[in-house]
Amino acid sequence: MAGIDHAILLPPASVVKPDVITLSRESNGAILWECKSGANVEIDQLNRYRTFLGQATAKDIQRVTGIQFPHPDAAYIEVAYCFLEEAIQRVIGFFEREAGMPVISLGQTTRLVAGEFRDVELSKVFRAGFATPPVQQVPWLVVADAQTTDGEFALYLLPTLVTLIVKQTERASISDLLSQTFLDWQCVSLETRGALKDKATRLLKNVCEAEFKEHARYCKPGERHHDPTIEIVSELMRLDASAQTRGLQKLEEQVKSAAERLAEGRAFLPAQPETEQWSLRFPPPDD
Amino acid sequence: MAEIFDQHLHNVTVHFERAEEYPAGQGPLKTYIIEAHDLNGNAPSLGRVNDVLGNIQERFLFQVEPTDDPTLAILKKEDVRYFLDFLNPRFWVVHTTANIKPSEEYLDELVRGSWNLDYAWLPTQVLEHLRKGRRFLGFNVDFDQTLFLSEGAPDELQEQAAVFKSRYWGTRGEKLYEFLSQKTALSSVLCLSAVKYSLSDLPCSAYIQNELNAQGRIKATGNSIALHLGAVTHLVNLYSEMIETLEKELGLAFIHGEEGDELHGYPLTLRFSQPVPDFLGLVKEILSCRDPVRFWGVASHEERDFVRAEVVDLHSASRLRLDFTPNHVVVYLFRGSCGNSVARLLRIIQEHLDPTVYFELERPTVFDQCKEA
Repeated sequence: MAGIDHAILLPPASVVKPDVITLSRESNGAILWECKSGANVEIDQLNRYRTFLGQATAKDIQRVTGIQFPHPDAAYIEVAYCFLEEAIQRVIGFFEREAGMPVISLGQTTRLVAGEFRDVELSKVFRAGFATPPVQQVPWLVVADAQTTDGEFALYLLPTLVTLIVKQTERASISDLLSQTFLDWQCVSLETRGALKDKATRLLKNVCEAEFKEHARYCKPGERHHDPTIEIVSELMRLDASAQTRGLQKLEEQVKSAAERLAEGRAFLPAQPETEQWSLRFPPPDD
Repeated sequence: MAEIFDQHLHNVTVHFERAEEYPAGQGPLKTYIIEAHDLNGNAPSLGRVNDVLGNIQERFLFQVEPTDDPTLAILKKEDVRYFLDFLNPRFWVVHTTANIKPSEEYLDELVRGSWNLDYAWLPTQVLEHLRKGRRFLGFNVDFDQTLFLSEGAPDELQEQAAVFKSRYWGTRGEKLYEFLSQKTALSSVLCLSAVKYSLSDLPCSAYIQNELNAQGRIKATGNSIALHLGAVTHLVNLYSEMIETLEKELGLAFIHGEEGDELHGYPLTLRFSQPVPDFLGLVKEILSCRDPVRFWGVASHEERDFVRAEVVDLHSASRLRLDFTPNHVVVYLFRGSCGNSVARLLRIIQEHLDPTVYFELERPTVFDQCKEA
């Protein structure tokens, strides 16, 4: 794999952003994979890819991803589309008539259904097809991108905040938290990294003033720290063993409720303490 | 230190099974392996070890006394004295002649309360490997499926949950253990939790009897501290190789290089020989924050027979991801996380679900050597 979500600029003012770029050193070529979850071909996007293929060189890919082709001057670049099996009927005619790009169908079997790869062996493998493993058996390595919902994003990010509470770390930058959460952090494009950082900053600021209020504090960038940071103020790990276990279990509930709240876009409502109301008021009048 | 222990061994003759009954300082010599890690999962530097010792003094009220040897310290609490050897800064060796009850109570308090310390967790296959080629003097087996039953699990499940605990000390232990292992009906419950063996140096009339348990504790009696320390070094080297292998093989990260982004490491599948009787019970207990697993976790995807969870190991503050199905658990060990988390999970699955589960790594490693031996 050569990169995830890298934006490649096309002069004068256009851009393509394949989901994944793969490099084959043996065949000295790169494939830009566009993975679609819907059943529509975005014509504008397809045209940009066509223009891109007419203009781009291996050096454009090298510059963006940092990979090195064995022979850049002779390298080839192609674009492949992936669709879910149920969408194939709607798009295949178009690709057969107009596009000429390889199209992969993803169902119980993964199969090349239109076009050919430049690499003949690769075409043979995909044309023959192979069983797609069930989603549960696919390793979950790249878990989030800029489009991931706030609720789901929180479920990945907040456990890393919990590691800081357990370690009783004083402070960590949001970039550190992200790099410890997302295995692919070093590989995503700068643009995606920026979007993820903005999302993380917004969510952490929110939960630090809500569910995590007694554990962590959001600190704006300042003179000493150019990045926003999270300061750990939790006393949880100083409690005795059973109180600590209860506190950690409560923290799991708090992560879940924060994720649900963020998914629904709700504001935080602190739980009302249960108190004896009458003791704070005048006694009821005698009848 | 060696002289003190040599003298102790010569002065006391003990039966391991009665270790709690001996007066203070008269029980067997006990040696523990403690795994210590730094923030990034690596071995702590000497300076960091000293910070940890300072923390032990401050938070756990141990007295810490340095010695002439910069990698040896004496820890004291009440009337328990420990010799802490951190020549290997990642795998510490702790010796004590104090009685077992207070010495383990204080040590437990320390290990449980420190995110950067843990015990060793030896799979049943490795315990078996360690007793081979030595005179086998007995074993403990300990298996109890009730840990992974949900609260309020149906009576039928509770009645079916297997419990198999037994202790055999004596000669011909090897024959008895082999007999039990060959019984198909027992292979799914036969989980070694301790082995007892002796080592001797006949020309010197030297011998040592060791009882090694699954958490890396060795009780020793005999007349040769050299033989005991040799066995400890062998265990530390083997365990260190195991944990470093897990970290090197499994530590997941995409690394950016000239050839693009290469995935280093891979998720490890721990396969059960039979479907789990109470799937949700297993998931809940593993993520409960409680002993013995000590994992904190939150589910990110839940289906009927599938749960994916984002996990923190409370012993090491490591990040993991776990995929649960009734037939297996997939462990994603993040780069820089502690391999001991995986060793502990496997050991607990062996003790409470399926003793036949073992590490299936992609390349031949120390784990295959232990299994084949």
